[in-house]
Amino acid sequence: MNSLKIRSFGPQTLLIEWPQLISPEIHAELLAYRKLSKLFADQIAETVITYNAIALHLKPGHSPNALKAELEETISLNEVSPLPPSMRWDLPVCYDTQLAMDLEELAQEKQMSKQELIKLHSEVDYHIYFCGFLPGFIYLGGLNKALHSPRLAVPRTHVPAGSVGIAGSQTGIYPSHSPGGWKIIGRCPVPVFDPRNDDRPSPFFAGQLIRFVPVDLKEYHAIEQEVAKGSYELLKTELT
Amino acid sequence: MITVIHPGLLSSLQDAGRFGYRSFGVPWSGPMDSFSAGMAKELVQNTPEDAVLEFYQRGPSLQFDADAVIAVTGQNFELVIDGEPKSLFRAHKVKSGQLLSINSLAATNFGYLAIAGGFDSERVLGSRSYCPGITNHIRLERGDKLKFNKNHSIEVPSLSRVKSIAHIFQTEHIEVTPGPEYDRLSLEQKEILWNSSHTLSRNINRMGYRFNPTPGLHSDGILTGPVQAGTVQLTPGGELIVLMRDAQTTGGYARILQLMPDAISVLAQQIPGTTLQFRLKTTT
Repeated sequence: MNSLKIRSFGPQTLLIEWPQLISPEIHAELLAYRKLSKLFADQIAETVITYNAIALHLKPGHSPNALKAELEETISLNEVSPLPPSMRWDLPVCYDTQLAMDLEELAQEKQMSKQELIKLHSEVDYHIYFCGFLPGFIYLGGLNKALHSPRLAVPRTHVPAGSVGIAGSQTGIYPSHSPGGWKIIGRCPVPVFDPRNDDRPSPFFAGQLIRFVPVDLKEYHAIEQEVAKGSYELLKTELT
Repeated sequence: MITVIHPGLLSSLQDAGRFGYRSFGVPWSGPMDSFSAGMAKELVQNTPEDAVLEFYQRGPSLQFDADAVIAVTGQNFELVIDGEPKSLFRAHKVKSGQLLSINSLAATNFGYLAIAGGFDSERVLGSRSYCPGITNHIRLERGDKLKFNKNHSIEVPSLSRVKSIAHIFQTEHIEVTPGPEYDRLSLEQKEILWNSSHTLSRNINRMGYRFNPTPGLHSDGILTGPVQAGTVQLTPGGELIVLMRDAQTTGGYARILQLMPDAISVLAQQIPGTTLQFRLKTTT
């Protein structure tokens, strides 16, 4: 088990932190501690996780120091086993240059064919670390080093929802249309964030995996129509 | 119903906040200054869940097509109903057909209008608060119609006058506790942080308030970690950014301080150019 540090972060929040590393192992451990913290659900209003930290935002009337003491006691009495990914989503992405504004240029920059670029991007199981930055934006780990590329020098004022992009060592999906400087290499026809869905505005949870499945323009539009009718279901695979 | 004749600046409906969706990257939102918003609600006997209309620097002009009871709070605003000036921090009747305007008299930040019965607007993820990326509407626009609940006594509540709260905002100090990366600062940097007066820049909005860079203060970034309203971030370029109500849930700058909850509302009402010092909250 890695060393973790527990301390207050303002008068209403407790912060549990691991070393500042992006690692599936640390994250699996973190998820186990998040599960453990549910023992204290009566004190916790909201939980936010990142690569290496859990923030427990407390309900009014509860103190981070009191929870820290209780949590430390529980940790000392329990064996906490890491929670590795249990399922994978297959997310359709259309890499057609009609939707992928920067694909051609990125392929040139990397001196590879568009097909090679698409293969490198879609052959990996990406690890879902957490949601942040924008509502519904998921931080994914696992982008092939050969595809790392800086942000656009001049950000776009409008990037359509569903756009799949690359920025530095990260790849991600725009949950809603917004300004942005990521290099856009595809678009996903399935909404990744739906604020109309009170129960679950995003299908994705931290600790799951995502694989991008290339589809052509025709399939992209067919899926779009199915989504509009409400009959589209994302493919998911349980991992053993 | 209320018709928006002029929307004012950055006007938005804000209820107590959007809770339970933070793990999806959804901010809490809510009024920038919870003192003034709360006082407006109290004056018209709103419940804690009701929304207020928040505006920035310039208030809206609103045409009423039903009788209502309203109250306006804030600093340096002027309330006018059908040409007649009315007091802030007091409940007033507005008759059907009347025009209500809120103008600013001097430099100011956020003001609030509450209405008896509460605004009857759409809830998204459990909240009426406008928020970019969540609600279609992110600010009030000309021609918008605002519904409110009419099944409420339109009598002006007695004892509707309250003391001014202006003194809360007249301070040079912002109360804080150390943030997760406070100990990354050197002794010299800590001295600069506590002893300097920091000047609020013009770059302030519902997501964050930026201060002009303070010479000698700067910090490397961190691996993206949790942040919240009131988190004071220090950038590599030396800017202090205090995150406000619509801030992202995670961020990559060093979190050197954390504002006390009340201090967030106090800071919200400070205008660009104000100089402020951070003061460590002493535990009692």
